[in-house]
Amino acid sequence: MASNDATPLQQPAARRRGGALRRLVGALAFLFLAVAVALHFRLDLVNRYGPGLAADVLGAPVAFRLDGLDWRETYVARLDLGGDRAVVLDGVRLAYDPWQMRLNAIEIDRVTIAAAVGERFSLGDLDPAIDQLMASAGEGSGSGFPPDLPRIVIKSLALDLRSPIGAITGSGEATLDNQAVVASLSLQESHDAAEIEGVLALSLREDGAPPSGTLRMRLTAGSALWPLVGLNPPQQGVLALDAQIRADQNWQHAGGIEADWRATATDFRIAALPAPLSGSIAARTRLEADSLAIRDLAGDLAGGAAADWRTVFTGDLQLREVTTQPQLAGRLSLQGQGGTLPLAPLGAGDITLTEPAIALMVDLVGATTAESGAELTLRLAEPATVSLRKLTSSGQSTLPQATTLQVMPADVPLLHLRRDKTGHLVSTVTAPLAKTSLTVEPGISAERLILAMPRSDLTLTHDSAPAEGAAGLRVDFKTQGAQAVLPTRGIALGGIAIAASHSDGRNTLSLTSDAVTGLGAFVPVRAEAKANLAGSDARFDLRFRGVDQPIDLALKGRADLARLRGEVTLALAPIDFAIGGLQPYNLFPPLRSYLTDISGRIEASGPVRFDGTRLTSDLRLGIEKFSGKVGPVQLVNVNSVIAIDRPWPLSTRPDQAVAVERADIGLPLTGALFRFKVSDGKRLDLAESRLTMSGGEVRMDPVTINFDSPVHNLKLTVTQISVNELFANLGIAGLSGEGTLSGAVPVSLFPGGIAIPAAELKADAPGVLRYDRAQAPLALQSAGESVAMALLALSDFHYKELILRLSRELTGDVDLGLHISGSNPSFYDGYPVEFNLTVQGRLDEALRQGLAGYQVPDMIREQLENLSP
Amino acid sequence: AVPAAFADALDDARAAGQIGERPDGYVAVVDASAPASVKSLVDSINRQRREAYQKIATEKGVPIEQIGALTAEKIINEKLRPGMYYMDASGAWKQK
Amino acid sequence: CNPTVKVEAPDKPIVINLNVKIEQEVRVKVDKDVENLVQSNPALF
Repeated sequence: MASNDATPLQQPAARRRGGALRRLVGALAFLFLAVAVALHFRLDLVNRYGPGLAADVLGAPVAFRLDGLDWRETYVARLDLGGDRAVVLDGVRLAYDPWQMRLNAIEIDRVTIAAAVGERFSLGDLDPAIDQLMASAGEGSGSGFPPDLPRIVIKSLALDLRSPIGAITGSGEATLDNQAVVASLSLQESHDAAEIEGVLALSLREDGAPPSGTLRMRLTAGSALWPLVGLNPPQQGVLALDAQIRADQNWQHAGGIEADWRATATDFRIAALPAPLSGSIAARTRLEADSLAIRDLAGDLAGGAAADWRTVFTGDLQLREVTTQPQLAGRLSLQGQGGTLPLAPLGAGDITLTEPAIALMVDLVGATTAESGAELTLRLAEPATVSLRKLTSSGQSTLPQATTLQVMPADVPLLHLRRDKTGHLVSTVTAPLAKTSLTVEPGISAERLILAMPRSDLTLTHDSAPAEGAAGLRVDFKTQGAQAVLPTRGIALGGIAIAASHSDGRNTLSLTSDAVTGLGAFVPVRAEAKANLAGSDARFDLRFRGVDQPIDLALKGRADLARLRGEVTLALAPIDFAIGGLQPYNLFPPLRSYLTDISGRIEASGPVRFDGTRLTSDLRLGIEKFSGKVGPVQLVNVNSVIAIDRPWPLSTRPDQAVAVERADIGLPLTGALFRFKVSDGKRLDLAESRLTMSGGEVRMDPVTINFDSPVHNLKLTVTQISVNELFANLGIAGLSGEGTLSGAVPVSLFPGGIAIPAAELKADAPGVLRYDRAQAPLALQSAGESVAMALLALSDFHYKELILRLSRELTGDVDLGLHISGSNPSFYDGYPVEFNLTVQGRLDEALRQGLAGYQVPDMIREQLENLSP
Repeated sequence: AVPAAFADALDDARAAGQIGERPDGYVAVVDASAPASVKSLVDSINRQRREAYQKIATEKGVPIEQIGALTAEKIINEKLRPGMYYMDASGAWKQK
Repeated sequence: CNPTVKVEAPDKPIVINLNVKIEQEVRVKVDKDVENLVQSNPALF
């Protein structure tokens, strides 16, 4: 008779040694023994009371029917556990040795488990029993399997798992005894969403072979089993995993488990990557107590960053304290190349790289801490190279030529990622670039700029949840001591410092250069430029200052780069020229042959608008106390504020006014107010102008001066100029008189000099002429009797008629012809005399002193004052 | 000295009536339809003459206009051959 | 310099012609330079 002590299940407090499986099997075996004994009396008795008894034991409905019972064997055709038959066992055959009261073997034809997979693996009303079983199993796991385990064979296993998004069916078989456990299981998710096949061979003998097995898995996007692999389900694609697993001999006592696996992705699309991934990753991993080593990691993936991007990587990684605070360390070397890589999908602005390639070798250090989340740094183990054949950015500047950048290892990590518990990810890339030279083609013009930089720094920070107003993505670029050349224009920039940044579609640029040379014929200047670009809308602030000349030109404005339209406010700080000091040709060498001995101040300010190449402006050019030789004409104290309505080719508004204290064109014109307009950069229309000469009034006919034509003829009409002042101006020492002359003075202006072909002036009325013999040229004074008589006649000559003919040659020689008729009271008692006097030779250079009491006209003085407040 | 290529270029151009001598010591294109090469020859000759005049003017302390005008007189009187063009003081083209 | 003077009969007004030539020492000084400038650069002048 079997000992009839209380069934172990009813002794809640009793804790049997020998592990949970042993207790389960033991309970099951005892249950059948009890039933077998009962059967000895009545098979139907057992069938009627058995189930109820068992239900009490399990705490959940049990239904079974015994079909055969004898001393050696019991056969239960079908055993249902759980209200909704969560677990059904078909064809259960128990073989036991009645004498040793030992259960030798349990053979089950088929086990069917129907469970629900939700937040937990639930078998309906069997859960409490299962939980209790697991709890007790958990605590005894250390001691391994019970030595005297009966042999259990599950010929076939059927699983029916219902999950919120589909059902999973599974099949398999297992044999279990105190020698070994061999089991194989394959799971099939509904709609063919996933398959998992696993085979496990586990020896229970101390000297048995270490457990080993294989795991093959195929998950499609629709599967619910992604959490098993620790990944979020992709939008599409298939992930296949193939792993060989084996454990060390002493795997139960801190030995390791090794797994060689290969994961293959096909058309694997996840939101973060613009293109689906295909390819495989393989590695040999080893799990020890609390560390995981991933050796010989190798991956070859196509797609991801772009459809035609390919990444190949190898490396070795080490994870420590896996269960508590995983720490990562390792080395990874990676090569990537592609055909066309648009960066916009990666959130880095509208930039596309052609044939990009990257090669780098990094040391990884990662750490996760309970409080602060995870942190990963990548440091370059050796210089990395990034090369591309071309970079184009939406219509703006591009790198048209093949470029290779070398990123240098530095103490600051290349990549630093920090992810806190809330998932807030901040990633920073810091890439110090070695000596680089780039060819840049700014979008707005086809000229190419060649930029050579000894060293530069590129940093990129991306914040997944930027603070209010802060930028999500920020790219910064800095360099110093760079050189740049604009070959097509012959412009060179030295000592360049650049700081450019891009954040959320807005670009800012600041550039300074110590020496900009080749700006047309201008002297070298120091340049400072600041610009803000958003799309093609640019705001800029430029400043050019002479390196050793006092130029200070500021340009501030806005432009639509796409349509090359915009407005600039120009401010040229006042420039003071001085004879012996700064001269115009110091600033603009070609002026050397046009402007000599210049003094006075110029300045300019005002808006310039550009639309394509069409320029319009409202520029004010101030000219103050300006004197010197302009071409052949000697000017004294010129003042004007000229309104320029197009800077190039130069054009002024009509009716501009310039006041000239004195202009020497062979004859001294003074107190002039010219009205003019410049057009097409080469035509100056001078309106009729009024000025004074030798005390009389001069009217100059309107004239068009064409800067290319070799000569210009001016026609002066002179009225009532003073005889006395004229002779003074002509510098004929000793000759003076009273009376006025009028007439015409034609002037020929040559670039190389001035000629007065034949001026003729007549006396308006009778007057007086005196020639002080003492001041006559020496030769004249001693020229004998007749000359003495002539001089006597001229000492106080009252003329009725006076005609003066004047001609001045380009050489400066002046021929003066004077025909006067009248008489000298003290010469032959005033007998009528006709006098023809010709004077030849170089007359005194027109005297340079100004017009006494000259006042700059109010209108122009006011304009000058409010030009530079 | 002026490169050989120019040696006769000036004389040929004057002989062909394309270039004329101005009284201020410089040359100018006589007929506007002359080829561009004549224009650049004129510019180059005038630039070199101006440098030469400036040198003498500074050495002798005499206005540059005078050196130019005196040179013009010498060229027009002694070097121009009949039929060649020169400009008179009022800017009109004349033939020797 | 050589001034010349001519005197005519009294019944008509006395006609005095006076021709004054101002020393041209500057011109002489420069003529020599202009001379050899033109001679030594046949292609330019």
